[in-house]
Amino acid sequence: MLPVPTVPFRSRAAAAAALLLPSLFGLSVCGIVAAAPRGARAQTVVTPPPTAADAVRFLEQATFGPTRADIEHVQQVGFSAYLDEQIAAPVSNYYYAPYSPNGYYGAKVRFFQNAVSQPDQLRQRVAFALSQILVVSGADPSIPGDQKLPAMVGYQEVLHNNALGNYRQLLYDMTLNPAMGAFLDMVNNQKPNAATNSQPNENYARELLQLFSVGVYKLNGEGTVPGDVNGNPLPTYTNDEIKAFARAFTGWTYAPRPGQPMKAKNPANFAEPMVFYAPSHDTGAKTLLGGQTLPANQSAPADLDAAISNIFNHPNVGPFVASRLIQHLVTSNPSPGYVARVAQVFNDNGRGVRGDLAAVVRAILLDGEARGERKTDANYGHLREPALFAAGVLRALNASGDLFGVPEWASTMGQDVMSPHSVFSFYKPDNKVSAGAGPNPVSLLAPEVQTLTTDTAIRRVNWLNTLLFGKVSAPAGKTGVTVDVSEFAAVAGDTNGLLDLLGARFLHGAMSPAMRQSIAGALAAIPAKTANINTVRAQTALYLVLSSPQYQVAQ
Amino acid sequence: MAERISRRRLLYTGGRAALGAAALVSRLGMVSAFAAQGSGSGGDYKALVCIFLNGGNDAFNMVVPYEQSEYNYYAQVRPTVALPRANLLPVTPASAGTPFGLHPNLPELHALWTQNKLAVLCNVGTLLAPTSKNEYRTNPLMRPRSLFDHSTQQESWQGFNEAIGWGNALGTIAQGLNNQARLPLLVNVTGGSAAYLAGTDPYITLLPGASLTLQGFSSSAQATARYNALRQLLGLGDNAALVNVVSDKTSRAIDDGKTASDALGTANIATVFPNTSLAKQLLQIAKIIKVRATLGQQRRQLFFASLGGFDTHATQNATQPGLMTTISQAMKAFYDATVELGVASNVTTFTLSEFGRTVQNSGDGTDHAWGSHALILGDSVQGGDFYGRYPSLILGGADDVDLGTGARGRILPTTSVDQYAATLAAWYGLTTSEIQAVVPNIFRFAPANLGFMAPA
Repeated sequence: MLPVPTVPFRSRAAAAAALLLPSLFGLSVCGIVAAAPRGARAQTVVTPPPTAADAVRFLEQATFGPTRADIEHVQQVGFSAYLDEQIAAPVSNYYYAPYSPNGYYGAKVRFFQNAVSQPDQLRQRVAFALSQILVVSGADPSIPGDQKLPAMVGYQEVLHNNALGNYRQLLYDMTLNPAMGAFLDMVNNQKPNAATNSQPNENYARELLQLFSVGVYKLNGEGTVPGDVNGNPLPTYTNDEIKAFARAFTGWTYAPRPGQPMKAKNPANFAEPMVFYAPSHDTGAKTLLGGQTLPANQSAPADLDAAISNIFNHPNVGPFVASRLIQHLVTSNPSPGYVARVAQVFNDNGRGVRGDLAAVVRAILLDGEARGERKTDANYGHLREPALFAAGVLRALNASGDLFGVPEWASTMGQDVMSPHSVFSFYKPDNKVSAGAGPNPVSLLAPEVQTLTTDTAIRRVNWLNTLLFGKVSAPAGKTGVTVDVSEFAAVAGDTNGLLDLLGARFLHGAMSPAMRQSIAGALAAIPAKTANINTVRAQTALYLVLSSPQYQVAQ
Repeated sequence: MAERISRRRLLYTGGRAALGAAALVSRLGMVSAFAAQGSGSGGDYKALVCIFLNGGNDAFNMVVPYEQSEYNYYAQVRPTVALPRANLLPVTPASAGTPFGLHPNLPELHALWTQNKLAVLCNVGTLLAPTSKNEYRTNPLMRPRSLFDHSTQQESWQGFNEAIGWGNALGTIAQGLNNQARLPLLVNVTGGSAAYLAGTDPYITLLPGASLTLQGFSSSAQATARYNALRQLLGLGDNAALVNVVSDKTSRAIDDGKTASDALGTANIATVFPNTSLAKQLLQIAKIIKVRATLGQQRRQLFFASLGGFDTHATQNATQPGLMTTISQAMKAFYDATVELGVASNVTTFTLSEFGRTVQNSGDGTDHAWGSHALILGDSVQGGDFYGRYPSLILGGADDVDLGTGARGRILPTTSVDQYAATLAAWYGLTTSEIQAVVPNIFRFAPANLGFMAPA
């Protein structure tokens, strides 16, 4: 039976965005030769090919998890060339997302299908990070139940199309995305109405500034918050400016259905960007950030375009985006210098362009701080968030099946993809933990650790138990997920060989002697006459390694 | 007259004192004055149940002016969301002087009001100090940090010290009363963040219906060896700080999960609860209260529940009624369960929300504002009355911090969250100096005790 096709959502700007590929450094294989950065004295720089451990670390940051094939490939072509390939890879999509009667569950399954098997890993990883910054939750009642699938598919496709494009384009496309419009009341937001004594809705304006672009406090270039003479942080915007943006964003409604007339408030339509209805737009002058004034009598599109530019050009955006993406991809506690270096690339990609996300992601992943300079630092690394952990295990274990049943597990681990509780996503970027024993604990940022509670911590371990020793339940007629441990079973007859492979694949080759000893003890207890003993040994060792905090925290 | 902020600037980081966790613990001391207290009725067991209404509850539709001219103004300035006067459930608080009405979907709470079990705390909000409208407009230092912003205001309602929730602070002091507790007394029954419970001492998350046991371990030697290896791996110290944090949390989770699961397995509550998220959370709390002796928490427990959906920027008439019904039915069921368990005077349930909403509507909803009304429920509550002052709703008026023709009715609170918390803390058994440590700015406000709890 054919799946029910979804209406592909195409942002008008998608085609334009696809052309925004940055120019690439020269490359060749085997003893990577890179052209020197523009402005430096012309020379060729030969860097040694990455070690397997380096490649594993890189793929943990740039993909949903290393696979044997990817590790070998990165070692062969090097980090920079791999990124070039990734930037050019075809964009995975949600066409023909599996149909299910339960709203948009099929889109959640497709999320994992893409994450586990589609080649544009970097783009998906960045899109996933962006989905936690520019948040729409499908669980919100403002999106009608029978339209959640096209709504969430359209929203995901805006993220995919722009993840390696330009941040300004992303802000623009997201502002006119109907799912976002429903979620944060951008849709049908009308100019002041004296009869109903109503003012424009401030919701989208506020969250756009607070969560999607500049944040509540002024940042310096390295992402930290300076204080005034009294040590108080400086707000980025005032309530009056929020109200001005709210007015600037008035006048948009759903696109009319094909063949239907244009009205002030068209019925819900999640297949196309929103359109404007001029009489609903507030045409007064507005004073935005930095005192920039939008003159009176501008059209809705002109006001919107100028407002997006006003926000995009605020100096906060570079460090804001840099910090968030570094935290999602690499480490919870980046050094100020790291954030500053990446923010500078956001400000100018080296060719005079602001907001080039492909360049920003390259800067994040090729920076020394990501490439191992801090790998043994006490404060380096981040907890794998539930969906990343789940997808990473499935990739590493060559998972097959239609992956029905997988989103539920991520959900019980604290991350119901596409359905966060609120616009604040699954965890706060400034969630802190107290680390270190003794009288002087250190306060560390640990965003993903906010998801780790009594029951979700147990769920992470139980997921591995079910995946390795049991069967992930799936709806009737669905194949669910099956993992393949044969690569590990093949060497499981020799304990040291098995531990070496696990260490190389999951712990950057750094499995401690104590850890080896513990796992060996569990393996030794498996009776010699066990059927398929090597498979059982492999499963047991994988269960222990993947449950271990040393793996759970990506370093 | 309130003292000038400028002389106390060092203590302000947006209304939250910059005490480190260690400093707080050392100030509070590990042996509290609790020990000196008598046992009281029911063995002096007390529990606080916080219900956080996520999103900013439009309390001006929860507690509505009923006197005709006041009602007329209310209906005139928020015509798209105003409730019909005939539908309101009338209440006549002695302290207010004029009548009010509860939202029509709160009949259960209305009944509890008439039995004097439910109190309303009016116009409460985050304040750095008692503030006038003029001070708000002319002195930015008088404005709480990031007013009108969900996450900052949620944190400000839930904690007064940097990174320490006031629930956590109360629990730190109270834990000494419990004799050999087997679980943290701080319990989170809701998914999502719980800044109220965060702090040095850990809290435990016990979601209704969550699986709390490790699976896949039979009693075979093989399984036991695998379990032991898992526990060993979770106990290995590591150079990486986050690895140690995750090890600690996971180890505790396994142990606490087993303890809780064993205890809760036999906890049955006869009272029937509705099938809503909030009701399930409160039922879970009722069960944990029931097995408190098994858990070694005979004297003190502290809970955090939450309900989302209150950020009614649009379609408020479609969503708010259901939320009111949910609150009313769930709180009533929970109250009945406390009666069933014989602890109705030992358990106090109260609502928090990060802000109220604009008096004036925007489209078919309302926007972020400030002062709001809260509900407190229990047999130890001196219910059937208002506490604090119900404000004037006049746009641009004396209680509205907005000015001019664009004034939208963002009402300046007349009671602080600090006083709200301090009043509950006093009932919970804290001494004045302990309250001062938990609520550092309480000294700026009078009265420190709002009087809605019956004296011990």
